[in-house]
Amino acid sequence: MASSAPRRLNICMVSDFFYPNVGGIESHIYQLSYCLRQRGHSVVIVTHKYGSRIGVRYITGGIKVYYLPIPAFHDQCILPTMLVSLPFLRCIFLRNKINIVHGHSAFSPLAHEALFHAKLMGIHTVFTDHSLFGFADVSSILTNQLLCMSLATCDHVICVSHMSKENTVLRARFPDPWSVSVIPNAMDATKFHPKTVGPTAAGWSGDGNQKVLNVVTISRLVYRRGIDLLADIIPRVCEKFPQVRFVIGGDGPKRITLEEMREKYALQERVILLGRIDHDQVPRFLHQGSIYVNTSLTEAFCISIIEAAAVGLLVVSTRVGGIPEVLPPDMMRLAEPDARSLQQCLETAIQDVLRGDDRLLAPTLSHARVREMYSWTNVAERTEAVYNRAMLNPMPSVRDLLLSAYSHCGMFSRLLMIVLLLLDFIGMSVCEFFLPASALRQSDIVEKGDSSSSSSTAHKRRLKSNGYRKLKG
Amino acid sequence: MANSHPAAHSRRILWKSQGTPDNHTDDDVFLRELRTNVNLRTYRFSEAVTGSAVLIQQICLVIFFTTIYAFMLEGRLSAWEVITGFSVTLVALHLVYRSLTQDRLAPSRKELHTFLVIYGFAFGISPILSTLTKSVSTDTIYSMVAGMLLANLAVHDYGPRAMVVSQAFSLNAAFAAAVCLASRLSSPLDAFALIIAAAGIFGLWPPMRSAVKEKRPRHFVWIAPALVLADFLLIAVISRFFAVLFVLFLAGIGLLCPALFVYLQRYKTTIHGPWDEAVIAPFDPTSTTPPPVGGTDDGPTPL
Repeated sequence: MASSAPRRLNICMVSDFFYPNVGGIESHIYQLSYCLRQRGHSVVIVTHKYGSRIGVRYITGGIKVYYLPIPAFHDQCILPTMLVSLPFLRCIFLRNKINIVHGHSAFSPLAHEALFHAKLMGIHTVFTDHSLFGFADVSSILTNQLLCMSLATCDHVICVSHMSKENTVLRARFPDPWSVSVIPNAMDATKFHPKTVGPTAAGWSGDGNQKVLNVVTISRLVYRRGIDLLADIIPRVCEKFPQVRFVIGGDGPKRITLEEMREKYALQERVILLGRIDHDQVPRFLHQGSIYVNTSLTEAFCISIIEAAAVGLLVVSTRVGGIPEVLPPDMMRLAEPDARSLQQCLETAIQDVLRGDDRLLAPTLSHARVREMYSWTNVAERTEAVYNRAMLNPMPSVRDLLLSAYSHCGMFSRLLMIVLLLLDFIGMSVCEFFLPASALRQSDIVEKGDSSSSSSTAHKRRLKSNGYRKLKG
Repeated sequence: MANSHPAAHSRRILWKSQGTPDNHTDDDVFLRELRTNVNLRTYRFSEAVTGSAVLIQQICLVIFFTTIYAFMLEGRLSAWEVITGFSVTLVALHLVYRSLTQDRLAPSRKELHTFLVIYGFAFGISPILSTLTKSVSTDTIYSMVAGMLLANLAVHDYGPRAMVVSQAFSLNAAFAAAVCLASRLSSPLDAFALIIAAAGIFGLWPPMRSAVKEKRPRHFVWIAPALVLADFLLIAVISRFFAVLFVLFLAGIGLLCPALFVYLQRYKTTIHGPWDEAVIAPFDPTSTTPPPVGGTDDGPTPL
């Protein structure tokens, strides 16, 4: 494990998705950056503007974030123009002496643009794919083609599960699966304390006079999360076990399905819809439950079941996507994604918890195991190994990029990429003419170093002096 | 919970280090669950050509309608000839239609009612129609008519389900075109004749066509060639050049496009795998095996 690289890298994380937006990718980028800085690398994060948040911000942990003045176009993504972001990204890459550009999420045009510009500037690139995608409909065909073009020059790709790796290799028509690594997501175990009343022994949570067993779930209430499946099994399970209560967190278009079911079977007191739950409230929410049920129909890597396992809940999930890889069989029970199988599996789990089956793990044990399996330090270590591998890749010349890099993407895409490369090259020359690289002053973090291990007073002094520094060159 | 592919999953776990680097790719396991071309349907050339016949029929009908207009405008056809011709054909085809779909040959009261309303309404309104667009230039009318007839072709219901299909819009566009053209004709009786023609061609033919397609598929194949021949002869009377152009155009649609479609099918592949979104099977409570009540009391469930 202790294969820490002696080399200090300057890493630039790029994605359209970052704070103040909240979600899995956002926290992934933040946690990864934080841990990489602790390992002695310098990290900057680049995203587009959020509301009035434009420019450079230092967020918790002293991480430098660039909010580029490009507005969001649709669903927190910028309009993909390939060229508009060039002047900004060029300056950021040069000023921070970036060695590695790390793009996140296939849905983020900014990440793809950054990878494109970086390669032309001779910077190694890494890409993390967070999602699974089909091959059948028009939108996925288009997105997959774009991914193929974008990843053609990428040095290394990271996927969050083995299933996701297969999916990405097929979608991007990646010639070499050995340059795709599998590094799972992680979670901050310190936020998810094991619950004190275990599912075993003296009981599942007592609630007043009557004992109640809570089955909890938290997800966006959308079709892909299998809410119809959930609405199908709840009445049947409630009929069989009068002491079971369902507590559901999250909001979305499928909420109406659950509400209809609740009305139809008169389960208002036993099916509780809490609506959207902020991420810092999730541990408290999970503490209410004994069993966590996940009904997703497709999932690259399910972080919510890890969080549930860390709290000590018994996890019941559908066997889809990367989920079977995530937890060992004694912590998670898998059902086929149909109502009968899921109902059967959930009922067995409920009976075991009611009986206090001694094979159920105690919450503290479950927590300790999850903590060991998925930690951000481990993810940072493995990502660092990917960076070092990417740095060893030979850097293609502009000629190589034009002639051979896109040969597997099809004729039309290849022509398009060649035109874009030439335009980008012209754009870069124009930038170089007006703002030569030698005239750009170095960023604060390059001059003084950016490891968070340096004392906080030094950090403050650095921030202060930054404003008074003269232009170099 | 028995694992469906124990070997495939044995090394594919994330919760324990496998002792291999993260980019390790095991050829035995990698992409083992990939399935290609499941349920792939390919079409033969003959199927594609017959499939295009409905489109050709509709194009021929649109052109047939415009040639009738051209013939009336040039005085080759009188209004009485058109009215008698269409009325006789209407009665004849109606008998055929009844024999295909129902037992009784005589028209129902509802059908008679519709017939009287269309004839009476068209006749009553024809004096207004014939002078409706006097102040608008003929070129404007012709370009509008061309647009509306193209819209009729675009949204016509050819059979396959598609977003743009709207039989009501298609019919309305055709009637608007008929009204516009009728207003270019000199007398109210001519306008009446053209409206009758439009009603027969655009209103009554589609149900007839689907009835023939359903009950007499072997006769249905010959409708399109017959229409093409009729159209070719009619256009040839006006202009031989356009008659040849018409045939070439139809050959492009009826032969070249299907050929291209069949040729391009070689690039048709589908990819399926465990990453596909699961499809929820509806829960069937009446099924023979009732859902078991979970594990029994001695707890056989493998944890």
